[in-house]
Amino acid sequence: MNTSINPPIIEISGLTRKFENKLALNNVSLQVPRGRVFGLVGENGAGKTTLIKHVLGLLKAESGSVRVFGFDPVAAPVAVLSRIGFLSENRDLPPWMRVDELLRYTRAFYPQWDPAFAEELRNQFGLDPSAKIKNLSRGENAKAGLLIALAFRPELLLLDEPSSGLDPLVRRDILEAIIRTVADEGRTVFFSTHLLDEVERVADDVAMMFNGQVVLKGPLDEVKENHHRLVLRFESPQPAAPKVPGVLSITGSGLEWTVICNGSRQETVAAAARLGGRVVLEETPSLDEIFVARAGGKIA
Amino acid sequence: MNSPAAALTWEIWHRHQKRLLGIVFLILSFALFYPSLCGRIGLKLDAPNALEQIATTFGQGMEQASPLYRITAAISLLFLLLGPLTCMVVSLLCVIWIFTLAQVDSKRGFSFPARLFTLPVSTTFLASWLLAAGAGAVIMVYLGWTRLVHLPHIEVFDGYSNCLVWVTLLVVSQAILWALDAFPVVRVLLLTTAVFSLGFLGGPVVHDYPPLERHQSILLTVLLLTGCAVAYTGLGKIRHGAWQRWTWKWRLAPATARANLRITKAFPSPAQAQLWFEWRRQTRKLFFYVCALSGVPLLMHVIFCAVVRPGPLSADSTFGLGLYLLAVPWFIHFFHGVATERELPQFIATRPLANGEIVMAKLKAAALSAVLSCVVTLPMLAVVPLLGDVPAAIEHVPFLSRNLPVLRPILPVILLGWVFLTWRFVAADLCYGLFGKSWVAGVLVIKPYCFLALFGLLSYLVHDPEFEKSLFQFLPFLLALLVLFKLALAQWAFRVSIKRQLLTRAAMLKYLLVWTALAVAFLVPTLVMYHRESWGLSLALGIVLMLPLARIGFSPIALTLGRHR
Repeated sequence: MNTSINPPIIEISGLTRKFENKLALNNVSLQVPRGRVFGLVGENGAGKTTLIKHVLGLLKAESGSVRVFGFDPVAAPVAVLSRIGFLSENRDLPPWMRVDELLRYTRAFYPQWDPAFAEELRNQFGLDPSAKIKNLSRGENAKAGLLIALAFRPELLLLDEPSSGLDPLVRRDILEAIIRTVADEGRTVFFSTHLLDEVERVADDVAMMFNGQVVLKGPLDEVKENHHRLVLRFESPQPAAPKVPGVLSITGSGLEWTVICNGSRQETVAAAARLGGRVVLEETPSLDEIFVARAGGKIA
Repeated sequence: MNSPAAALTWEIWHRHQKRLLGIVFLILSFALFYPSLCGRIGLKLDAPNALEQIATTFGQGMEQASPLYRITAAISLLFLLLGPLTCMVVSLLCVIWIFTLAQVDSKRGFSFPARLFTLPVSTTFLASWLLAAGAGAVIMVYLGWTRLVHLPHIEVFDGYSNCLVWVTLLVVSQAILWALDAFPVVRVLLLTTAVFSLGFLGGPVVHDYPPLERHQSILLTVLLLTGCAVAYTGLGKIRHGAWQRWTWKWRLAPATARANLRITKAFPSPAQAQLWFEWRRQTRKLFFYVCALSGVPLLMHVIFCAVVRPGPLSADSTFGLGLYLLAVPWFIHFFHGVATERELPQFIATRPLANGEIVMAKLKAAALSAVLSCVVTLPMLAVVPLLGDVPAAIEHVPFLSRNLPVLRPILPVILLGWVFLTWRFVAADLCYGLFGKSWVAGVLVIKPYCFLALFGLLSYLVHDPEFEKSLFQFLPFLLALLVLFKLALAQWAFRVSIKRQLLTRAAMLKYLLVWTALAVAFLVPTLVMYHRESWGLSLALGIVLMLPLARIGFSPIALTLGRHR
């Protein structure tokens, strides 16, 4: 990717943030390329929302820097926020508003607001304009939030845990229809989740956070290609997990053990052979398995 | 904790520990120190009417005293008189609120905690326990105040020393809050009506209506029993989701459709949208509360005057009603200002709007609420002369009747001051909440205590005639220095706000224009009337200090700290 021709839409370097004694972000560096769907994954409390708050300018970088569209979001909030469509994890829409009032209010802030598109989305999501936000279901609330985030066709769509607590139908609607649509139009989507199957379905790039650090990042295909899932069979039952050097995780019992490794497959196979094991099955692991291997092994 | 009753008692105790201990502390403090304090300043607690005793003492002993001494002495005596009674009323209201179990819910406002319905206890137990425990707590607090504290006898507070009134208020509040869980607006109106109805029945106003006075106990008992029945039934209904779907939408359908058509028009600017947002979110409520708190008692007076006892109100009641109507906008806006929002909601923080625009929208919404509240109060005040003899009521207050000829020509300025102060209660301290730090916002709670402490110090020092002399010599210089400091701070704050693009130059100029206009409107009559007085200059400088400038300039900067932490 040539960043001088197509500069990244979000550029974070050396970002560190502490809340009292807890290190929420630890020297995080990340670049989100334009026109891609970027998935940020990590367990609860990994620092995903804190990172998103820095991108929105709701938190000020204690050390390091954050640039969105080339601006510091704290110094130039209007320039940054006018180009971001944001869906909050907290579903923080004002409960006293009606849906039509929400659209009317939000429209005032975005000159590029597309009323026809907003109406189309409202119909698609089945939202009653006279319904009060407080009376909407959780799924409808998420749809209303998504509607106002999308209706001005933002350059960057920022979704914080967009499908958290939603049923599979709403999740499917949100993830596939909207994210793909936005991405197809050459816009950028940056979303956080702890549901890894969502990322596998829609993301082009992925970054994995653990304890406030980005432990893995890159194009999704590359990440998956660089990890291997090997099923090893030993000649005699192993009383405990064999110590195969270089693996991220090892699970199983007796004769058969499954390992997840990254980097050189050959080295792992050779190491297993030295312990008396041979590969009986080899697969590309899912993102879920990679995450569990890295997080469960407390990140190599 | 081996029974549901013990668990509920523990929950209430644990949640309101500080409040309940505060009440006990207040009762004990007044019981121990109040009589000796009154004895020291010559206030007789056994006098038949303490307010009259003050007036006599005040008139006889202070003819030769300096104005400052008289003012501080009068305020100290009023504090001393009203202190225990106000604390008693507030602590009883606090206990009533505790036992309604009203909790804030983002969707339903104040409501009964739904989690209690998932406990394996019957509705009968829940209702009867809360009614009985609440009544017990009210009676205990009431007895604490009346038996342990030697309260002064003030006619105005006569009715409030009736325990049945307080227990009935508790039960009626529980009934309204529980049964009308799904109707926040109706609930506020009914609660207001209930409070004032009981105020009528239990307070001194009832003397104006002999038929009511004769049947006071019967009426209170009927209300109490009805309240119990409604509270019990209401709790049972909301437990099973009943009484939640009542609607009068069909009645409002054409109006709603018209409103829908009207609001499809887009806002001309983000600033307009934000002003609408602030008005709808918070300040509209203030206007509504002013309408309810002023309108309901006035309407009750009108109905009672017309139906129960045709004829004018007494001079005291007329004066009290007028004073009450004037005070309601201040009261509502003051409490809103103190309980200012301590964090900018994320929904607003993520809108592409400069901090200055957000602040200006808040200020304008507060101004709108203040103006509308005062405007709606004016016709209500115009009704008062129809209910009672206003000139006779004014005659009862010598200070007012003596100064009426002087005050009449500056009535428009007084009205402007009334509206301005209503707005100021909300606007002046806005910046404390915008910081997003609860300890900074806590300053607003500490401030009144600081003023009280300062007043106490002044009351003590003013006994020395030399101090007063020096104070009047020194005060103009001190105030002038403070004004200069305020202007310098304001200049710095506005400069920083503009430099950081937090505020537009146009918005700043508009505010400065309004500030200057207000300053001129207040200062010109003050200087014309009092330029010969030794304290005239100090008063003028004090007015300049009252007009918020530096804090408004700081607000966008404070919001920067709160919005980007």
